[in-house]
Amino acid sequence: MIASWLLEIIILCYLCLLFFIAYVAERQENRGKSLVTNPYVYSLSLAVYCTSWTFYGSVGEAATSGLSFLPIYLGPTIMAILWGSLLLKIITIAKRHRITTISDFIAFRYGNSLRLSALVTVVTIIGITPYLGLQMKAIMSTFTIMAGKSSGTIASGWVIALVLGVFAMIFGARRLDSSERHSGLVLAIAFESLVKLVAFLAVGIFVTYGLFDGFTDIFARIDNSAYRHLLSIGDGAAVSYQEWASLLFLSMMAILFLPRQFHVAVVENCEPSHIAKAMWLFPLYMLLINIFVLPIAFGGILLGNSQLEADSFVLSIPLSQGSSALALLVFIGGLSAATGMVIVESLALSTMMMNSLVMPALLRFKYIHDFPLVILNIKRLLILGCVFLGYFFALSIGQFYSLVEIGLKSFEAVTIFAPSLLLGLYWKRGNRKGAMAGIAAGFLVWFYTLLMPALIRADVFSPQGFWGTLLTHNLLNPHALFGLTGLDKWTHCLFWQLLFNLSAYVGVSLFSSQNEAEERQGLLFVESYDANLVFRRSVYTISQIENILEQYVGKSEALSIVSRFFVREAIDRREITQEDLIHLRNEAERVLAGVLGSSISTIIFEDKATLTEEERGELSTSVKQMTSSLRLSRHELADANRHLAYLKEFSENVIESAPLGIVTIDAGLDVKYWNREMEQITGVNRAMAINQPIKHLLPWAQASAWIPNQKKEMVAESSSGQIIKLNVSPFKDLSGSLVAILENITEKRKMEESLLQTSKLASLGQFTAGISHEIGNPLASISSLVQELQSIDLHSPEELHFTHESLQTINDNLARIAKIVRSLGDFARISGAEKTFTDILQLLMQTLNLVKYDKRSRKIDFVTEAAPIPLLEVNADQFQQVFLNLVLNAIDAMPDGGRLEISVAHRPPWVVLRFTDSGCGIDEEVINRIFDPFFTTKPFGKGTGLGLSLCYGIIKDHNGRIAVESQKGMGATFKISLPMKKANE
Amino acid sequence: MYHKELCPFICLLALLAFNYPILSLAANNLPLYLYLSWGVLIMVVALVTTLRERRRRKMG
Repeated sequence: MIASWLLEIIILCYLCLLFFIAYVAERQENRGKSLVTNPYVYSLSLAVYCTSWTFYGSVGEAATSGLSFLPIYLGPTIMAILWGSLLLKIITIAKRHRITTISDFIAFRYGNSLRLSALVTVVTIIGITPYLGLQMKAIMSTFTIMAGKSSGTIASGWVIALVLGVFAMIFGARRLDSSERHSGLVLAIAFESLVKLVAFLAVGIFVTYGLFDGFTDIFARIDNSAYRHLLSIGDGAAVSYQEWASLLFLSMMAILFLPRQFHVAVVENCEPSHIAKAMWLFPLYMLLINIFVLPIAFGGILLGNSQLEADSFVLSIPLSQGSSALALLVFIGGLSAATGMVIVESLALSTMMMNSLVMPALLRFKYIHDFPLVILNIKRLLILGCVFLGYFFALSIGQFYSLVEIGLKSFEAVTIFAPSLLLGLYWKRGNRKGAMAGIAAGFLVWFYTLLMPALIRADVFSPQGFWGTLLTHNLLNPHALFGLTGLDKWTHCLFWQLLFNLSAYVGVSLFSSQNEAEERQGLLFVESYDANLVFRRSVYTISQIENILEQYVGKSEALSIVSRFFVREAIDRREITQEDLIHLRNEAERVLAGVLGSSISTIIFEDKATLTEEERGELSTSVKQMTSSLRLSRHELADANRHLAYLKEFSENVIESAPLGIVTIDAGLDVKYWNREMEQITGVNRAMAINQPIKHLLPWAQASAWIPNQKKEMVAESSSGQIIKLNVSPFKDLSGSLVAILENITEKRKMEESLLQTSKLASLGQFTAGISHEIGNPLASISSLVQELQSIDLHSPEELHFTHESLQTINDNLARIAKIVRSLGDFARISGAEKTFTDILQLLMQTLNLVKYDKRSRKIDFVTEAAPIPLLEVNADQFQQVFLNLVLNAIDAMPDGGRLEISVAHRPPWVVLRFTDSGCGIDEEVINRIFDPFFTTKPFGKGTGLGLSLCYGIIKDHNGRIAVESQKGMGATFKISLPMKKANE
Repeated sequence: MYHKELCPFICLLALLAFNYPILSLAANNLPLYLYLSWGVLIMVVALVTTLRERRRRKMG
């Protein structure tokens, strides 16, 4: 035994530890280092399911009814297998609309019905309060056992209830928005789950291996005793197969619909992907905490303890064996189990009461001073009220029932919501009237068959008189309603409750119509429509929305919500569109749903709506359009799906068949898509490329190509010698993802080079005739001099002087011929495709010198005006061809002579070259076509029509511009602008 | 079989395994059967969800 005062200190120390853990979790969360954002804490928090019922009651149940405690844990295990779809769907909807309670969830499904929400809340309060009382009862009973006397127990219970209420108030109702996660609360609950598991395993090992020789020993002894019926189910056992199946079903429903389970599983879920791990971690936790239930129960019986006190075996066995330390650990474990449940359940219940009962009443007082603080304080009071409601229940009628008895009544109560919620997720036709009828019918059956006998037993109702007559009537006996006998009370209640509930829900839904809100919500739940897709004309301006929010959450919070929306959506407040206003209104409605509940939030926005006649007309039209669009049948949806699948296949075919390499990369620069052409270009197959860094797969591409949200275009040579044109573009969604298109332009480059060479040879051909006399004249001079030299007398001194002069002339002429031939050779040679920093001016002068050999250029007056310009990164061969083409065209345009002015100017960031001739000019009708391939104004056989087209392509390839200005008879000016790039860039 | 269908299938098998008449077949050593099949069920679900998550991560 431990002194009462010492126990009280230990309890307070433990609760202080919880405060500390919750405080640390919240502080870390505020610093951005969350301790709770992981699947392990999420799974442990789900173990709030294991209450003092599990800790003490399971052993009590096992000692009196054998295996009947197990369905309570097998049911959730089976239900958890479906969490990947069912719970995920609930979480998705709840998160999207900031739904914080099961009553809001059901009400939201049926058109945000306030009455339905209130009904669900009332049923839950009546159904769950005994369960809360059960926890308080467990704490007080174990306190009495530990202290060895009952005096002081009630006072201690009162203090504990107060501390738990304060804890829930501090860590569960610090902020207005109930949809916000409570990291401190979650970590504290997860910690408590660990404590109760460790404590239970410790006492299990103590009993199994400390007091007996293991499992085999205990089970063999029970098998050989009068209690062997505890090892079986069915005939001769304490539990029938029928009851077993009912308990299995009840616990499957409870894990989804108990308010605290909804709270930790849905509201406190921070990442839907955590569900996958919780699907097996949570059942594993339950398996571990149940491994020693039978050994402890059987051990207690074998040690001679009374079955009537089996609920306390976990604590009484260590105490009776003199192991006070272990008993204290067990006491703390039991305290953890009870406090965790009380904290979360009271928080969940108070939120339900707040949203469904208190807020509708408060809404009548539209102008309450400091509204946010008022509702926050009311919520805190409600939390405290819930805890004390449980406490008073434990004091009043809790003593008449076992832990399991009370717990199962609550399970039966929340199962009332199963038809409305589960069918509501998958059946569009279900409506508000049906849901209300079903829940009301189920509740009446539950109240009459389960709660009424309990109230009579607790002397709340007298077993005599009217109630006595009613309850003993053949058809109205609560344990054999309508004369149905042979069922245990859980199966009996479940059968009638589900029968009436389902019949009323389906029947009323089929024979009554849905309003538009219900129809819309039906689609939203069943078909997973996004509410944002449904067009709804907003009648609010930004300031109106701010005013509405301000009234309920305070001015600074309202402004913060609106500004956060603008930042997140990257919207300029001054340029907001009608669609953005709709989104802002939806956001505001969602925020209010988190604070006040979804039904109230909708009412507030509907109530505030003040429409003009015109707006009302438009709204009516859009509602009609919306309704007609919502009436898509399943067939139409299936058609749409098929069409979508076809489009998907079609677009994949296009991407896969494209002669371009297409690759998508995420923000981390890992490959996410790799088409077939990419395999051809790189030789890397798709399976090897997916999720690999792009820099490893395309090492030859410059690193600067992969900068998020930037467009890039470049040409590079791959490792295998291919010339690849790489075009990188960011995704439109600003996620940082990129799409890269690769084109193998090796062949194209070869063809371009070949075309350039051909064009050069064609140009040479054009002016070869013109310069032939440049070679012919010196050759004739050389020839005549040679003939003269052959006939002279070499011994005559006069002739010797003539010979010397002639040889000098021959040498000069030969040098002139060599110079012309060298110029032609230089021009005809292709030096390569690379762009190098080149002196454009020098290139121009070389070209002009070459052209001047042409006899046609003798009548042309060449005037050059050049300012100093920097070196430009160009392909010298290509640019020589450009200059040659332009100059030759100018000469052709001036057959009778004229003037060609060439100017080079520096206009940062451009270098501008102008070629102005005084020729015949270009006809206005053809000026737009002169850069077209094969277009020429020259006579047949005189021009290919490729010269200017080639010039245009070369200038474009250098990111430059070429333009022409001309009038017929007034000459022409070709203007080339080239971007400057410094040599060191 | 897709995960979408696999989980309901496992759930159905579990419901059968933990109900009459399968339970009556294991009547001789019912606690052992219940705890063992419970453990196996958890392992199967862990395997299925882990493989699915791995595949999902691989697919990106």
